[in-house]
Amino acid sequence: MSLVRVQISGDSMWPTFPNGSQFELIDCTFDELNLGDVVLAQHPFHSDVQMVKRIQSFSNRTVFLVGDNPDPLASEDSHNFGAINEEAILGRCEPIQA
Amino acid sequence: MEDTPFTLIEASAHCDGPCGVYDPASARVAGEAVQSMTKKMLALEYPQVFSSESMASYLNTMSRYAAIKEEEAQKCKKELLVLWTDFFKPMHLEAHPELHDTFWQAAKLCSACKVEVSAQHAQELMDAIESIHNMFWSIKGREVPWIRAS
Repeated sequence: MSLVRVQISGDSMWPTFPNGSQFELIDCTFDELNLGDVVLAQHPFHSDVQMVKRIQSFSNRTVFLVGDNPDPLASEDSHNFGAINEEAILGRCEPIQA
Repeated sequence: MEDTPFTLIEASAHCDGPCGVYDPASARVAGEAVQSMTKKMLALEYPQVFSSESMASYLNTMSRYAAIKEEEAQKCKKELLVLWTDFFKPMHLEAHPELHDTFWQAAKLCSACKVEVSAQHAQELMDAIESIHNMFWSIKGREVPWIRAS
């Protein structure tokens, strides 16, 4: 099985993960996810966009995703597009130590 | 591990909306109008012939300068506040710790230029906008020269 790495473009995960940070993508089931996990997810409104966000909460097989940036305008996340379905979660992101 | 081949996925970690559609030029144009009207008000000479007609013309001209100065100063403040609150983010303070004070002073200078006819404050406003121009384009990673229209 080949490794998959994810590199982020943007500042929505700053200061934890600045622009250009890389992660290893871990294949996992929905039930293996935990609060606070960083995940790769499919954007609900743009089929060509995948995004890296953090799980803030679970509700009825949906997840509420947020960025780490404290600026309320710095992250397009579930505050804008709402909670997303479990099928939109593509895997957990483990940071790669520089 | 580092030698293991891998597939790299580019993922978005962007902000909401049309990020990137900002330019301090709009504040600069408004600031230049404030400075121009201030200079015109200070240079306008009192009519040499005193008559109802000459006084009406003088007051009309002065009033128009004052009205435009007021309007453009308010517009300048609005453009600055949009940049300050929407474009600039907490991480930008790392490279520009003077950011908040610069915007605070610039906004106050807009107010000062509204209530006064001060060439000094109008110039200080332009200086502050130039500082913001430099911070903005530094963050965008582009060299954009400071150019005035007037």
